[in-house]
Amino acid sequence: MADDTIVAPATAPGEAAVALVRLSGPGALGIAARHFSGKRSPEETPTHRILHGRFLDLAGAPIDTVLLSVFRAPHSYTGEDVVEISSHGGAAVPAAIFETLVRAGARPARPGEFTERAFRNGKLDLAQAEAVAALVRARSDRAARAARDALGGALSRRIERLDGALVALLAEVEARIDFPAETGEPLDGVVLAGRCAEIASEVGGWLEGLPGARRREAGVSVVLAGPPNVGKSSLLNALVGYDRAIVSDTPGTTRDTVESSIWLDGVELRMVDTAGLRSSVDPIERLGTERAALALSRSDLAVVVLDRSAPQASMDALAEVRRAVDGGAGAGGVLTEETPVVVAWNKADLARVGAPGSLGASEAPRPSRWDGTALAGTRILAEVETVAIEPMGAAPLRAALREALPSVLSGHAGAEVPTTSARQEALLGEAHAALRRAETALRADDSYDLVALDLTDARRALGEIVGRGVDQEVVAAIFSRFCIGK
Amino acid sequence: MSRFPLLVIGAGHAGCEAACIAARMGIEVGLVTMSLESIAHMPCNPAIGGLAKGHLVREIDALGGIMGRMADRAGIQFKMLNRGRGPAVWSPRAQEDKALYRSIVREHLESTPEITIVAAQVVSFVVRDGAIHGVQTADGAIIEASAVVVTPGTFLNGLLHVGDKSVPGGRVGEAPSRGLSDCLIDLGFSLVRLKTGTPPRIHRDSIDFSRCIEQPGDDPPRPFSHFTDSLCAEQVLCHLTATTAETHDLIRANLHRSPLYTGKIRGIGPRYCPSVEDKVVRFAEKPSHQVFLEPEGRTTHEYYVNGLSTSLPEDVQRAMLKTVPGLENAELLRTGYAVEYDFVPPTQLRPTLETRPVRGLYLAGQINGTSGYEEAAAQGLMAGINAALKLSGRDPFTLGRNEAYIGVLIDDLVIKGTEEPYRMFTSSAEHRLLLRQDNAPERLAHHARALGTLTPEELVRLEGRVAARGEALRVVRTLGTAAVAGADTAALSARPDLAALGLEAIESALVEIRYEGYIGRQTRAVERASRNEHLALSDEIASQPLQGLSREAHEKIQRFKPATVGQAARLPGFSPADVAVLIIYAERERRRVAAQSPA
Repeated sequence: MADDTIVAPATAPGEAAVALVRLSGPGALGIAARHFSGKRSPEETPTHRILHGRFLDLAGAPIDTVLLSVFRAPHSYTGEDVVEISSHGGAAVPAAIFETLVRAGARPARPGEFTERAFRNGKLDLAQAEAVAALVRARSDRAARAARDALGGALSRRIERLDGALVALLAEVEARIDFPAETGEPLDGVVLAGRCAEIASEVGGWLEGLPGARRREAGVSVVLAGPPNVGKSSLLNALVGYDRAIVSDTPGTTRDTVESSIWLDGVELRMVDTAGLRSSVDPIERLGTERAALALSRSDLAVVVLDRSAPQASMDALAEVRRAVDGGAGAGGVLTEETPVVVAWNKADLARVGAPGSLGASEAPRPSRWDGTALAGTRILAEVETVAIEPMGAAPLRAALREALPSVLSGHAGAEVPTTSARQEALLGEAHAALRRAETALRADDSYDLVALDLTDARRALGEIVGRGVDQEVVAAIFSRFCIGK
Repeated sequence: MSRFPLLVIGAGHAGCEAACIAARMGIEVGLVTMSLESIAHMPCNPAIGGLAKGHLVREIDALGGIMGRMADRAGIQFKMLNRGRGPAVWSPRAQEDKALYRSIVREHLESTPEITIVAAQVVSFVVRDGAIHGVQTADGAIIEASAVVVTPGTFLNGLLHVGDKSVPGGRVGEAPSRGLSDCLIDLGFSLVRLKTGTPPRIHRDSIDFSRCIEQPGDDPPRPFSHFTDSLCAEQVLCHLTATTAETHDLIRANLHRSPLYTGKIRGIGPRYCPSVEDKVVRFAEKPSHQVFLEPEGRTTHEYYVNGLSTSLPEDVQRAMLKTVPGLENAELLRTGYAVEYDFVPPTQLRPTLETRPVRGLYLAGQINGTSGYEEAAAQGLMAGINAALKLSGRDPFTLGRNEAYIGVLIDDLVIKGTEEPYRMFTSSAEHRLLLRQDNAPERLAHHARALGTLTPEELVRLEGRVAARGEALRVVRTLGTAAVAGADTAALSARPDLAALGLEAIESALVEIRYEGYIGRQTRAVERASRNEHLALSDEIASQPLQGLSREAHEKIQRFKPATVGQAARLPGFSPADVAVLIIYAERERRRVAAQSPA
């Protein structure tokens, strides 16, 4: 058990209603008691109580009215005595409280030290500890939920289940080595290989699901692209709910990419509005088009906006740009068959009433197929009609995005998997490779000594994910990634 | 009254190795045995080696022990087991002529000038101030000694069971050793009971071999010893048959007459070497179990029925034999029996096999809870080496788990202890790929040199093997990967640059190269593990419970007092979380100490 007491602000600095400073260690109750004036002292309070009173500076003058939450060892996050001091937010008050506590004998905590203590005191396993880091970093509800699942042990349980299957298989292999006479019908390696393959597939499926899981955590990037003046910026504003992008009737108003986020089903969608795609001689506009192309090539999902009131013209314009930017039609370049696309036919209202100046366009048909058009060779998930300038006019696009989300998130594998850190993913990769080697050797019914080694190696890699057999450096590296106070 | 620097009590496989290795190290040894006729006796199967045990024999041999050389001279059939399972787990095994083995070992002992064989029964130890000073024999005589290695086998309060009959005895026809158990308890040792058993023996001429499958040896045979030039050419055959449904029915119908099931035997038997009644009960779905018929010698008529270990009454044993194909007319020469005996849970020992309560007292063999001739010999060798080192005022000698099966065996025993007769398995060695039967000289020759357990000629020979393998490795590497993948040893040995190096060196080099990637990974694993091995735990850790350490882990620490995190991690009941707690604790302690000491 640690012999010193650590302190850190647990909430981010800046303007806020409430701020929290956390104190943990054998001296937590005593230090807090010396600087607290209330009906009861934290030293005389049972665990899990909240005390109301004033926090005093070194001279005994009150700094602020505070609430003290008292958690006694081992019933606390760290497993030590913990006092959490809730004060008014802002920059000055929490800083004064923090400074007072440091001068009173508490040591400023290193990043992640609270969680390190929780791990060391057996309150969390390593996967749970990493989940805490993920929870703190989480950008969205979805990411937070995944992190909370891991914290609750979902990741650890999945590892335990895999490990159980591995141990059973390993026992079979070892028995064939040490008791060749009692086991081992010839060629039953094939049967064992099947069991090995099952475990390998589960780990493999997990790995394949990771890009989607990671996108879930990091959010997905959605690029709005299309010819000039089809209403991309208006659509962005309609989706975001306020005027994020400047809108005008002049084609080419948006010269650079403009970013704004929306949240759908707890996932962050970073919407990127781009300059209209067209071949131009204007150098600034050219630059805008190139940036749009770059954004497209990095996007997880493209919303291609076309003008419903002039379908053929906007398709032609798009085709021209694809030729210019990609250096040729068809797949490759900015829009590939890997990029999922939602087509938004904007200005659907004009198509219905007839656009001014676009004679006879009112009943112009949408193309019925994409072959041979500017969107040939892309992965089109949905096609919707929108009216960006009307209330609820972007709703069909919002619905289409929500529907497209699962397929964007999970990549090619359908299953939802626990998210992992880069360290954990590398270990999963090691386990997977070892399992595949073991499977191959088992099929040949040969070299059981190597099979056993590979299976042991796979166990080691999986075990390290939950902190089994990790060495000091790994532990230190993980905990250094936490923000101070957790 | 007589006096020896070193006394070895018992002349089984542990005692003989202890006496011989100490003699090689220049120590005068008194070897005390209850019966000159039973020196180096094999009371159970007529074979040496086998899975993991063969590795032990190769290691004993490289360190200067006798078992490999003797087994080569008394061997009548040689076989490399597990050839289909990968070279790391190939294990040499040989059928032995039991009578010949006894007589050549006795001859060897008698011709060793440093060894004096004493026929006597030891009844108690002479201990003063926590140190051994000698032993007292049944006739009241005292033999003084500065160090004593005790290897009583199954004789401590031995009790033999056949059906409902129980007679005190260490082996059939031999009296047990009484008094020693009480003496050990008085000295502060705790003792626990174990059980083991042996199958019936039958007459060769009563076996119908036409109903069995022939089991020939390898051609050419491969010796155990690194110092054996050639083996007796003519090998005998073994035979394979199997139990039938009729056998199993008969056993089930008579279970109430087996002392194992009536509750008469309380000692714990080996799970992996079960009696046939155990097999029938525990593996009820298996319709048949293999039975190997093994000759007990070249000239004797006695056959060992491997697989039918039992303590059922004699009439059931006779009836049971008749249900096995080939044994319909079998003539029973000796009944199978079970034996219960005391052992000293080996967590009371130091890694040198010296006891914790009594300085200078060493225990080896079945008294430490092991089973098997080879396990006993390995411990006898290590106890003998350490007793000799201590008598010479030299540092003790232990082997790491990454160096030898012997290291795994003793580490398992003294750290974890055992609750059933401990048998060596390849799966007990986490660094199995590095501990092959083909590379024992590479692993151990430098130790033999430092200890002085080999004669100069033997050392030249052993180190010559290391050099030959190194040269084979160099030559084979120049051939390129593709050539290595498809190469066979015989073809390679025809090459002029390899011919002189010998088949074994070439074979070993091929393994080393083909397994390179895996061996590299295992070597790195050893390095990783050795970090924990070097992370020291202070004595303080036992006095105060560490926050976060499970109660079970804390109790284990108090009981076994591990010196390093690595040792603690191997304690049963120690979870990964416990290990993580210890790593962090030990690392903090290390930093604290480092910070305090002046730079």
